[in-house]
Amino acid sequence: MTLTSSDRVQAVLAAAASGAAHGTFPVEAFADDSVYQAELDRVFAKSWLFVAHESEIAEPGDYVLRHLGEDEVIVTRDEDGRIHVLYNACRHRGAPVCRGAKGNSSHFRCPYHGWTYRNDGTWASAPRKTLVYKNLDTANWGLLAAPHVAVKWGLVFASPDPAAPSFDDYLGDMAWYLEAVFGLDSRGMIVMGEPERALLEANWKTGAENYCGDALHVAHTHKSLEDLGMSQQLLREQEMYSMFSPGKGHATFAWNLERSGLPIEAPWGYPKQVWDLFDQGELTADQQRFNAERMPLAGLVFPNFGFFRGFSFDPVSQRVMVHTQLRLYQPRGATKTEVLSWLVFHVAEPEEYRTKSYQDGLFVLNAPGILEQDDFTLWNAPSRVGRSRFARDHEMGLNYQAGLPGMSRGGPIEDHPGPGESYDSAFTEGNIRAFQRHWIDQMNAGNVGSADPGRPGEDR
Amino acid sequence: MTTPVRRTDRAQVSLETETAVRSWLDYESMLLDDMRRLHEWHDLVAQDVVYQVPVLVPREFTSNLPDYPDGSYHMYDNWFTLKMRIDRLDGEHAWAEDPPSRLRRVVTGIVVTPGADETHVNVRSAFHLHRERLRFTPELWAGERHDVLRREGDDFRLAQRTVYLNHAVLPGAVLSFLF
Repeated sequence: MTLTSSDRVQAVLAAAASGAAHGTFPVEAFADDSVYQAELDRVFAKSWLFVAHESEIAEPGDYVLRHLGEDEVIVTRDEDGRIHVLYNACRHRGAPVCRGAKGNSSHFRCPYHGWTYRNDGTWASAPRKTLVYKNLDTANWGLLAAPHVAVKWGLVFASPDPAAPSFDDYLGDMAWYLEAVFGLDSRGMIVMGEPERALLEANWKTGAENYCGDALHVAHTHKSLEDLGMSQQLLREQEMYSMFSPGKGHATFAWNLERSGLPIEAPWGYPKQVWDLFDQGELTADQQRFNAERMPLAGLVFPNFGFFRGFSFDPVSQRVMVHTQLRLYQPRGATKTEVLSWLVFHVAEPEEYRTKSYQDGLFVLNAPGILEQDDFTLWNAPSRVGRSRFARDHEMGLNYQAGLPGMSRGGPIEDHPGPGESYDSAFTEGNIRAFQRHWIDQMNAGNVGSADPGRPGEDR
Repeated sequence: MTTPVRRTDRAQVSLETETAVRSWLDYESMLLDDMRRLHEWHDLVAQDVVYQVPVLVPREFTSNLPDYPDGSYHMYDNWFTLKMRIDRLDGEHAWAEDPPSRLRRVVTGIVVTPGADETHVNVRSAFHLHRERLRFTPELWAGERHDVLRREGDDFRLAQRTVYLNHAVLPGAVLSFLF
């Protein structure tokens, strides 16, 4: 029997749903083309997606090219300072109206027939329009745009779904955790340099689950840190993690550096004189306590936006430099992901510290970073294995059982001041399971009302 | 990028110097292609080396903004960080290079011009770099290197290297080798 693509999606979703009860997840979900196509329709077209940091388009007319799902969009700031997310395709014949990856322009003119749009997406003109387009209903021929755009803590998100919930609803309790990190200083954050873009041979979910809370990989994947003297006790540090699962597929985890043996003066390893510059003005006492006691390390906003507040440690100077990475796992196919990486800093940090921390951060982060090059080498495994005969014949599920009841040492944090579920060590994959449950819900919800499962494309 | 090179600049460098530079680059390429000989390559690097790989932002043809904007890097390395990268490979836990990448670079288009003083020469070169890794799709990297070589006795040391990649999206996400 030949399975149609819709049957394949249903089979993988059924395996995911039955596996969720005992902590397995079908490896085919990282490789199957029809699952990937369904994700574009049911996850990416229905979610709030990160597109840019506000500081990248600081001035009126500034724009950057980004993607929503696989669709290229122009993220613009119009003459009145409002941000728009516009589909980069002329309404006349579909040619790209914006060609450069970044710049400043009041208008975008199509190279084909010259239709021209303002940077807020509205139709502006066409050559000889009084002769050619006497009755064109120009209000209907502006660039297609994401119906919803939200900016919070400088992070610009957009949703392609007209029926999307508000961004606040979408984040739910994750907002409490994001604010603790990105709201540390009321003057906001800025991007240093331009984002790195790199093509990764992996499914986007592998990166996403790592940022959800894979605290157990650190001691082995990144053991070369011990070889270099940049850390001494990665395994013993697993007790210093704490995991938080605020719901709706989002996740975050923290790592208290005070017991790391590193020369720590203030939370996250900031030098005290830098830490004292942060006003923490908009943080509640609970969030301040959370930052000081737990030190949020990384997290994921469903489906594919991550952050990582890490540090580099120079064993010679004994200097700790803190940096905050923004990460987007941009889908490019079932087994391909474009990895975008930004480094952002608080405006309040002295420029000299920011510059040095950016440069030092590049030693550990992104494609050339000594941390991430090892991650990126291992992450093609699920998408490679997911295509295998073995995986199909054995209905191979990957193991996510750490932290299941009775499996691991640890449990909820008793006096945790924040919302959602918590776990008091690295010994759980609960954050990833929560991400997977939400993914299953989204994939199934997108399939509601499918009269004929044999006809893909009608199941939205 | 830096100032364009003119034919007249090139004419100021002796044939002996140009030949010596070309020979040095060939030997250097051989070492860089062999992930197990990078310590020997590091011996050719000056202690004050600046090794940078800036980020490419493709702009419209007539844009007045730079394609490689200031302050945007994939790599921002010095003598010590290069040494740490190379030392790391010996530690048995550098998964990105285990087994090591098979690298083969073709370096050509070599243009040697006078440096800031008599002990330095500026060298530009173009490269194609092919990479094979077990369980990965082969990658083809391309770019231009702007180097400053410093005379030291009858040899050169690499004093500066800026690698202008052709790629706005890196062809692989594991940049665990050197250009």
